Amino acid sequence: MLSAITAGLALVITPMGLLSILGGVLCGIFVGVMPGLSSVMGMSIMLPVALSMKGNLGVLMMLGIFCGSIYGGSITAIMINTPGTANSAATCLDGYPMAHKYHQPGRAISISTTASTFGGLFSALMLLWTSPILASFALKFSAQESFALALFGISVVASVSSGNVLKGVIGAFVGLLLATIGVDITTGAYRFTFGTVYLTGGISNIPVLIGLFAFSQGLINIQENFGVERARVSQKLERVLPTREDVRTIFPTLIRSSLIGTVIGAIPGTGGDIAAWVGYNEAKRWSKHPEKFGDGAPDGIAAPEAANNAISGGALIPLLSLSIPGDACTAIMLGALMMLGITPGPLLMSESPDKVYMIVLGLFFANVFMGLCGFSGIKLFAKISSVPNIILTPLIFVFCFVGTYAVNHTVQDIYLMIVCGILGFFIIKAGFSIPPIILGLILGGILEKNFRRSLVLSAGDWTTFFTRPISCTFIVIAFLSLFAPLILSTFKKRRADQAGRGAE
Amino acid sequence: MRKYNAIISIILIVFGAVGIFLSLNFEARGGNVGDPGAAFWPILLCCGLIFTSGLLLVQTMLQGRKAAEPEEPLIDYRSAGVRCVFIIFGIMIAYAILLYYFGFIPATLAFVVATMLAMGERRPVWIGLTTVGITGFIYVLFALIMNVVLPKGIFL
Repeated sequence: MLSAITAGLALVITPMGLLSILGGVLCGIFVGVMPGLSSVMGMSIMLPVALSMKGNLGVLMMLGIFCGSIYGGSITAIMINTPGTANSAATCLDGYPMAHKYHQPGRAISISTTASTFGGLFSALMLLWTSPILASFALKFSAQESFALALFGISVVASVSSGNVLKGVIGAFVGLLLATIGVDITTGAYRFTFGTVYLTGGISNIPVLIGLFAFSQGLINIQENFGVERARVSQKLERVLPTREDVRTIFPTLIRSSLIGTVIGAIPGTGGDIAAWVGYNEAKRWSKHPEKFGDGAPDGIAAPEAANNAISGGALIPLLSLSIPGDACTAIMLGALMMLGITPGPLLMSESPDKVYMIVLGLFFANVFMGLCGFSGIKLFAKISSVPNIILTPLIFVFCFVGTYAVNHTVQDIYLMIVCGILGFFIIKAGFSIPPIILGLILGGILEKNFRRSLVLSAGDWTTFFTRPISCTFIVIAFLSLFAPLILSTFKKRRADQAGRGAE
Repeated sequence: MRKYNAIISIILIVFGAVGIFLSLNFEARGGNVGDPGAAFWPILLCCGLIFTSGLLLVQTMLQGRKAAEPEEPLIDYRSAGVRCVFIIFGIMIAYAILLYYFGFIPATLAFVVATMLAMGERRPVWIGLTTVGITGFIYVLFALIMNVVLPKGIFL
């Protein structure tokens, strides 16, 4: 293990490796501080850039963007009461009052930076500790378990990512169907290619990712913010480093929230926003002064920030050890790793442990750089958030086009991206969620391959998925995750009806 | 929302049916014992899509019966924001065509100007500086630093 860690460290600690992480962190913070730009959008726009980088530099840059974008959202949450990303919505509750009511914006930002860095580093350590354990357990998996696990990942994301479970499941089916396009690797049959050479190799992930996540979001930003001037940061920061007293006060909250964030991050279908709200509520529940929450309490800033940054390591636990992305960001990360020749899963730990530790240590350094950038460049980042939409929107669109073209150098990819972007605009408006579609597209091949391998191994016996305990457990949980919301809502409705009748 | 749900459900049911029809023609050569073949998985997914879309359609119709008042439109096609989005749809398609024929720099210069005008910007200096700045920034980042090939255009 020590030699693998050393080998992983050697891959990270190179001038270009560190520069890639730093570049990714700066890019991530830039995306995070801009209201309307999400971490998913930043990662999908920068994915082609990462793919064009040599060796493992692209992976390191993506890790930097992942961490930086989560942190960046807190800056505008504190300064202008507008969270840069959904992850930082809970930070507004105490960050904004501390900055404006008590005129301590520097103190609020310093607490948020400390908590973000602590949460990120804590989760990187947890990733370092748990990934080998989970991977060694997952080594016992056969095709049936791998199928059940992928099914579990998609069903959980489909059930929670949309307000309506049916829409989530429909999205997953659409993604899975898109993944069937191209030549079938087992029989060589051409599926849904319509005689075109372009579709023979299957649908390229990048145009779909950029179209659905970045392009459609850009269109929604135009529609929702047309003619609206974004609020500007006008306050001056009095300081950027936290006091010893503040660190002592928030330390128990940092530990608790980091643990919450790591655990929630490891559960597929959750995300930084859920972790932040749970972290905030728990901090309030454990506090000796819960009445101060909502009025500039330091713990109220530290709790959501530590929790939402801790999901970075937590979400990578199932990704690296089981090849199951927990949310949209890790789905993009999975796509990036696969395209860069690293296939996450139990075999990665046994075959290329240096790559696993490179990712873990890369995440560690990304959080260190995030802290350093946060403490040293906060005044600049606060100013960057004032860049008007009129400049930002064309820049994002050009990035989408060039990034899409850069991967395969074909204009057909650009047409596909435009189609996905326009469709994405309407389906998001209609209440559908994008992550199940993307997860279906990315995991579709794995799911079908393991489904058919299982049937071949069992000579066509369908009960094979239910006679193996681990496989059966995952399939049962997958179905429960889909039907539980429907059953619970019916149950609640019935109880409400009964209560209504009782009152009459 | 209900109108969109119904339209999307019907479209997806049609897609599912077409998917099943096309899958029936997949050539399933060779294959191992127990392998259900190339058509089985897409057909399974299409059936799932039709079933869930059907459920969404029924759910939407039931909600429509219960609802006492007509719902507000999900997309207000008369609003300036939505009109701008539709104009930008057109600009995007034009940009993709321009990229193919004229390459990155001329197409991007035209695209940024058109997008800024569509978004309501009318100050010539702002438009000029932003256009040159964005085009130059992307060119330097992708073509010079990252050595990424940008569209060259068949006419240039």
